[in-house]
Amino acid sequence: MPLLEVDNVTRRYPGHLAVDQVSFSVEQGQLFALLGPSGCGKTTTLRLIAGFEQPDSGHIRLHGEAITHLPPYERRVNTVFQNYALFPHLTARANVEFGLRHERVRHVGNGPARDAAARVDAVLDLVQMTGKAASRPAQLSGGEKQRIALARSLVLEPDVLLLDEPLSALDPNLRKQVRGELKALQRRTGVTFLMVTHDQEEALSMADCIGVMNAGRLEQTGPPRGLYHRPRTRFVAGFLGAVNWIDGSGVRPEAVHVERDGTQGRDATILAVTFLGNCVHVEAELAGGARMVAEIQNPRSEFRPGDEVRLWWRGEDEMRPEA
Amino acid sequence: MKPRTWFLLPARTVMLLLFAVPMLIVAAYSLLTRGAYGGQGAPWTLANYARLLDPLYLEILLKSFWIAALATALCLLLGFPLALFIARARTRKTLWLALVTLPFWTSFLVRTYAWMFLLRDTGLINTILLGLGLISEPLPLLYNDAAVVLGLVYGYLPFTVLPIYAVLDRIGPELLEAAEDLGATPAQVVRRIVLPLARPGLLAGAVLVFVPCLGAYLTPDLMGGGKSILIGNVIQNQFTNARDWPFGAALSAVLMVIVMGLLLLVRRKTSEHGGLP
Amino acid sequence: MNRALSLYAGLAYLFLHAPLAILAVFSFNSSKYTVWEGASLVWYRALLADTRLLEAALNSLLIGAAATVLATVIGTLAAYALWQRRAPWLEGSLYLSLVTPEVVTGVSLLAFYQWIFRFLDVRLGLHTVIAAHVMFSLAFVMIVVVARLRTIDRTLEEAALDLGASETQTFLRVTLPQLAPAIGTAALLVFAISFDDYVITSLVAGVDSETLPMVIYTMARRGVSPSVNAISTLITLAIGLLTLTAERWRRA
Repeated sequence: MPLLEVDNVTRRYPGHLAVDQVSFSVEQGQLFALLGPSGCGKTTTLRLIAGFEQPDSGHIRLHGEAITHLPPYERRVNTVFQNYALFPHLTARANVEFGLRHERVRHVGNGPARDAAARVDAVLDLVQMTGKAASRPAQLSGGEKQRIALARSLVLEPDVLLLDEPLSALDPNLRKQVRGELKALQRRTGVTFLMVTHDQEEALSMADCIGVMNAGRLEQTGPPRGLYHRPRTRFVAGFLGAVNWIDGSGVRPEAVHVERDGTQGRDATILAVTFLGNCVHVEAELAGGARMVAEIQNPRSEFRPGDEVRLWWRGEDEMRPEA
Repeated sequence: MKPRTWFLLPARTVMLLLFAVPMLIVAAYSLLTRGAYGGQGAPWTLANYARLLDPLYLEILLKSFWIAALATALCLLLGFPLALFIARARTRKTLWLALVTLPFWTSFLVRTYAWMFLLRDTGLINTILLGLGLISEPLPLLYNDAAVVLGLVYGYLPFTVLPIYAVLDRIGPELLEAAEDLGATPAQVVRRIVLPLARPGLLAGAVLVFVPCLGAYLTPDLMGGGKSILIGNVIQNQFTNARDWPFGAALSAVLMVIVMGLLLLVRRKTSEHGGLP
Repeated sequence: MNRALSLYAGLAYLFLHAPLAILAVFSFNSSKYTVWEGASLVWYRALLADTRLLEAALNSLLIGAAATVLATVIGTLAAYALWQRRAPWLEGSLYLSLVTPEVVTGVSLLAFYQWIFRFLDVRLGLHTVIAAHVMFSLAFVMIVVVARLRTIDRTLEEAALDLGASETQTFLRVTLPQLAPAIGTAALLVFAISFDDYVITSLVAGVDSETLPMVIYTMARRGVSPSVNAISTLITLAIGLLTLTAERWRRA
């Protein structure tokens, strides 16, 4: 039985369907990423699971039990908000302690309550914020705020931790580092993470399983590699990375080979060459007028606009989405 | 979170019972006839409103408008440079601002009395002037229209300084520097950049002063003596000494309609310019 | 330009503060007339002997305290509710109450009370004044509290619910602490307005419920009396101190 099931859930807003018959399930211990452009309904889906909103139809189950209409404070899921939503009038430590006071409500019959102070200490140590426990949120940096927000939720040992765009409020140069830390934290604690993001690189690098949403619908669910290489729709293919569309099938730029005097492939004329440091983008026009971009890691020879070349790719690298 | 309707219940009860219903009663009384011994009763009539056309009352209404307009203009004129000073002050802005609001916190009655103490025949100014031998008999400083205007300006000046300051403070110094860089003199900067941008604040200040001045009661009563009667005094008098409630109610209704009409007009004007609510 | 502006500001502050300062100075004058004859506390001592004045001051304090508590609680609850939903009728009436000339508010309340007294066996008194003060203070409380609520992040309430706090606990533990400074300011504002009101109060107060402004008004009309200088100075000082303490407390 999956840990969390979202079953045919629909949420209607005046004028449009925010979430349209969405179904997916999250397994125990997974890091699941809901990926999609802004306004696709991914945050609404998260809010439905957290209990801030109610679906118009469909069910949400945790451990097989329906939680669809429970208030947020009776669900064993916790949220890390996009802006962290730390209580400004409380210290970092008091923020972490906040939920423990209400824990009995949630943990009925869950064995003797452990010493709250020890749990707070342990979780502050886990996120390496012991030294800043007495600070107020206004005195913390973005990364520190995020760690307190994580600690505040993790101390309650939720069945699922919901993370709304966990990296978007951080400095861009900090994001890559925090990606790894977040992933490591998830592995260490074993808590199931359900993360919402609009950044495909984030989802591909962190998640065990990705659900791609578009205009309220869940387009495809699967492991990162499967989704990247075998997208079911053109939208999924395009949202996860660049694609050259040619004759109804797609080829990723890094799968396209450029040769000066090969025998296989198609004739093309180079239009532009862009140096990007770790690779080179070659834009070329095929004989029929179609254009393609090839990404070359270690160009053997230097290409120039106007060069006549041949482009080829392996048949297995061709993607054929159904829609 | 679920909206909590009962949170609104006490406020709704208070406003319904002590604001809406009293206003409706006044509206109803304004259409009744005055009884022989005060009081009011049938028949329903428009006579109370017709009485407003009496030149005596028309004149009082016009004078109320004129005095309120004069006080408003003076408040704007005096308040703008003060707001500009605070907005441009590099240090102690809070202190300068607090010094404007502090008199507002103290009693309006006390502030009015303070001027009476200065302006009376036996007040400080006349006493000093007499003592210095500059005049031989007290100047009639109190109990006239000028004293009323002075009292109103003194009472409501903070109401123009605050909103004007609020808009001026948002004008970044780089905007003024840009204007100077483009060759504008300081006076031109004020006229061509600061004043147009301060318009919403000026308008808000004007409303905040004009509305209470139009219905002012205390200032004309104390500083105008019997000589400077405004509409507020007439209304109060109808409900107390004159005991003509229907007429007082009609005057109240007219004053309310004028105030509401003015506010609607200003609201339309500000929404055109995307200014204050 | 800047020097002229500073000079002007100096004069403007003189205009704003000199009358009250002069009043305060002359409250210590030993003479009954506006001629300085030496410092004395004679007029302050006279205040203590004036039972009518003391009784009125007590009434004013009582009315102010009651109106402050009621208006602050009612207004805060309503402001919080309006944060979550709209109530056009209530908002409209609050706005109107704010712009209604005091005289009109006063006479309408007087008319209302007289009308309702036909059915109820009550008379004008402190309670009618308190009710009136609660009504006209509500809008001020709402303005202050709503302004503060606008700066509060709504997701904080969701975060509290998410962490297991019920709706009531969320209000008490998360929202209310953040509103506290605004509620304090609102309470102070209500007290200052209530303590100062003459126009409305004089219309709806009974014959045996005189307030301090009513006494001062009568004295001011009668003529200059150094006693009024003394009581005015005391009021100004008290309110000024209260404002300063509140401001300090708000920043702490």
